[in-house]
Amino acid sequence: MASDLQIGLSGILTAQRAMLITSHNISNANTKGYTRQSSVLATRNPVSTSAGTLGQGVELVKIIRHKDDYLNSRLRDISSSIGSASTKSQYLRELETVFNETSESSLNNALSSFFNGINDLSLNPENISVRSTFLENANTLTDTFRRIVNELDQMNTFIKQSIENKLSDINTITTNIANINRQIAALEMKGIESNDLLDKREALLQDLSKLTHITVNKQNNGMVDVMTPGGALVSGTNVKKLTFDVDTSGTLSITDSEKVTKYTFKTGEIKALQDFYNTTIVNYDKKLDNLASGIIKDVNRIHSEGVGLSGGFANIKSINSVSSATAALNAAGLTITPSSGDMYITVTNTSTGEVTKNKISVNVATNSLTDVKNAINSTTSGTAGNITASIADNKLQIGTATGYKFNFSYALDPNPGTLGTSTASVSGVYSGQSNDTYTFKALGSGTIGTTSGLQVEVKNSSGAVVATLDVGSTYTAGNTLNVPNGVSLALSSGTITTGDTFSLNVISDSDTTNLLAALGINTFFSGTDASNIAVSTDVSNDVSLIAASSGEVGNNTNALRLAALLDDPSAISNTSFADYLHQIASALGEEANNAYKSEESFTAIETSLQNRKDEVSGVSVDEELVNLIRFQQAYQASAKYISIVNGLMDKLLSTFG
Amino acid sequence: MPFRISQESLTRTTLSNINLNYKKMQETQEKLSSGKQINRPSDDPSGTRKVLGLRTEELQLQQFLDNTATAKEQINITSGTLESTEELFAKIKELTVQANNDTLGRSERETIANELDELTESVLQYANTENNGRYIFSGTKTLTAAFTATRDSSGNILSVSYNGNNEEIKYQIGANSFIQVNLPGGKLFQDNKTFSTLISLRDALKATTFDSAAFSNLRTTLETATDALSTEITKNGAKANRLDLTTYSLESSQTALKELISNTEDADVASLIMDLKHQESVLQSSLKTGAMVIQQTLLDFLR
Repeated sequence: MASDLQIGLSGILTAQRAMLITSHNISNANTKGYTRQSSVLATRNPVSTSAGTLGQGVELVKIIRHKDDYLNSRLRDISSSIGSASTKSQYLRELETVFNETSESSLNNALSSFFNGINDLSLNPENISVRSTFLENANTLTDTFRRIVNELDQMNTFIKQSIENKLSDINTITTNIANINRQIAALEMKGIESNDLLDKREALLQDLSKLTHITVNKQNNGMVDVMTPGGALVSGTNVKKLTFDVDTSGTLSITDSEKVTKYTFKTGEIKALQDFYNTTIVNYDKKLDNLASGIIKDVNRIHSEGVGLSGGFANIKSINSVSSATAALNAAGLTITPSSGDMYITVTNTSTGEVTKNKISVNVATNSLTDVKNAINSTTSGTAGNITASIADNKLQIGTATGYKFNFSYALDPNPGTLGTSTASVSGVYSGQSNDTYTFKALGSGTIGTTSGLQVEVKNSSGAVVATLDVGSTYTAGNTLNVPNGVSLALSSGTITTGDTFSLNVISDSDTTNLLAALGINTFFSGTDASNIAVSTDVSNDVSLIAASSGEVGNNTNALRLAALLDDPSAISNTSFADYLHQIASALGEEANNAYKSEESFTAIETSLQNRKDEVSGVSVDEELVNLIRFQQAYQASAKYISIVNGLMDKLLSTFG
Repeated sequence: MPFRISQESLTRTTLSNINLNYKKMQETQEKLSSGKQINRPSDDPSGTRKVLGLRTEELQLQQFLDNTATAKEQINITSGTLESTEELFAKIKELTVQANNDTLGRSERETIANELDELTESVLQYANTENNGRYIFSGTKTLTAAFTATRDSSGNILSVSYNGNNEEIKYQIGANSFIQVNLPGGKLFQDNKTFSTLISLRDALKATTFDSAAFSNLRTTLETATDALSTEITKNGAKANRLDLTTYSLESSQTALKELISNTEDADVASLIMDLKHQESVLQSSLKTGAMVIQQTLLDFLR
């Protein structure tokens, strides 16, 4: 009879426990990382009788945790990948807003306006208000460059903070994992499976993988080691705390708390942030710098050879200093390295209009700034004391005597000399590729405009005949004759004799050394890259200094040269300035687009993995309700059995009592 | 293992689908409200580069159009001045014909000389025409009066000198295409030769004895001067034509470019609205089915 009651009791107790497990499942249906548990029931050891073994009821032998280790590790991998992709997307989206190339305030529009301003200047080089408008266009361009660089810097600061926060998250998580490891191992020693702690740890591992990619190694004592390519983060109950370090070159690396060991992460949010900091921003920064320095260099190179409204300077000082006045110019610390070549200084007597062209030859490997200064002082104008060069604070300074002005123009000498008694006057802009000297020589004797068949021959410096000009009876003295390459000549009436000669320097580039641009003499922009590009203070203070001309106020030759920069197909990296910028924008778009796409596809993979995991580990309330009813019925039946046994007992007692 | 669906995965699937639908709708909505297919470079990276390139080109074309308009204005002013000057020279010629008559008395010649003087003053005035504060006949010395006259005490012109230079001013009206917009007075008036001829003619008329042969020579010289003038008028007319053609071709290129930009960049409203309607119905059905599936559990049926 007693064993009868025992069987009934085992039924009640087991059904009760099974219901407990079911209700635990139901109440944790929405708990993150919860793994469904279920009961395993088995018969109790039977009693042997002569008739055979007699069942002794039921017992709960095990509570199973329905997990799939493979799915868990796949989920960790994918959540690292999502961590990378979503962080990358988020910051690229911000970068796209910073560049804002499709909007009105874009760098693209600022660049176009700058060149349109130059064009307007070429239409009205004398007009101060046109010059001021152009200055504003240039300021907008430089401001836009600096605004973008500034925003990139701010992004960098923010990313650094974000890395700091995420690393502290990692440290908290790894500490928790180590604690749970300890608790699990303690229970394991007693042979107890700690299902809920395992769930908790699994959830932490999942969170950790979002931050960085990890590999999880199970130990026999139930603990797990968390590994990264750089080393272990958790080994048993030990935790490696992480911090970061930025080296002198600005590279950010993740290290242990002693800043000794460097950790390299494969994927995850931190890796994405680190890449963004070390590569993406640096890359766009560099591209912007390239563009800005290309514009600075080319605009300054052309601008320095031009002339402002006053037609020349009485005094000028370079903006950039050399590291040493005696160092060779190619090793004197100049941002733009000058090259060997010639530089021309045109000195004009302001009262007579007489022009002297002084040529200074520079070898950048041997000449220093002091040599250049001495060379200027020993030119024709220098010897005459009309110009004087000096060096102060490692900067070159050039000044004139009263009544003289100078410039660095490539304009032709309008009065290069005489042939016999005839005076030559020259006009036009030399359009030849390289600088040259034309020699004009009388081929016969006679009177200009009268003697039949009288000719003047023009030869270039290599002795080739460039043109033969008829100045005889078919020519009217004073009319202009076309010498090739944009040069025109007029001869006044007079007589010439065979062999009479004069020469003319025809210059297309009055500073082949780029020394003016390098030193910052008569330059438009100051600065070296996108972070410090600005219109030079001199020009900002006095727009009449904008060198639109190669001589007179109405001359727009230099403005046209500047305007042509927009179309220069080899201005920067074998493409034009505008196209280089468009490439940056499109590369950014491409990168962002890829990031968005991979974020989307990783998220889709994660959802499907999660669903697969839930097929195994998730709680289905319906299923649990069915189980609940099942166990409820088992309980009721067992209770009924006990009451029947009780009835039998009563009957027996009352009968024999 | 039977195929199990948990509550969690039901909600997850429903939510992720609803989110996806909302995202699609938002993208469509953005394109519709901005009217643009490309709202940021990542929407279409290669399209972005194309649009930016086209836009730069379009802005440059606009600038060339502006340049052409300014060039046209300058050419027109020069043409107008040249034509008025030519009329003056026609009058001068008439006067010299009148004067070259031996029957005229000295006082009559004097009257003609005075009239010639007035006309010379007018020619001088035209030679110093300004446009927008710029002397149009001074070469590139545009802020310097092209010609200045030296006068005697009674204000008669003794001589005229040219202060400008012979430099050309060119405007860019296309890629690698330039047009000269100025006409240096040195060329037009042959330095000061035209003026000295006019002065000599006047002086010849004022002289006590009229040298008819010398006067005829001067008239021939004047003839060449006016020839130069009419040559330049023709040249200017040709330039104006060239500018008109340039404007026309620039404008048509601009229209084509704008169309190209619009094709790449602008949103196709009709098809976007269709998309939006479709997305809306998908969203509604996912919301409805979500509400149905999530609400129901076995509990609803257990009594």
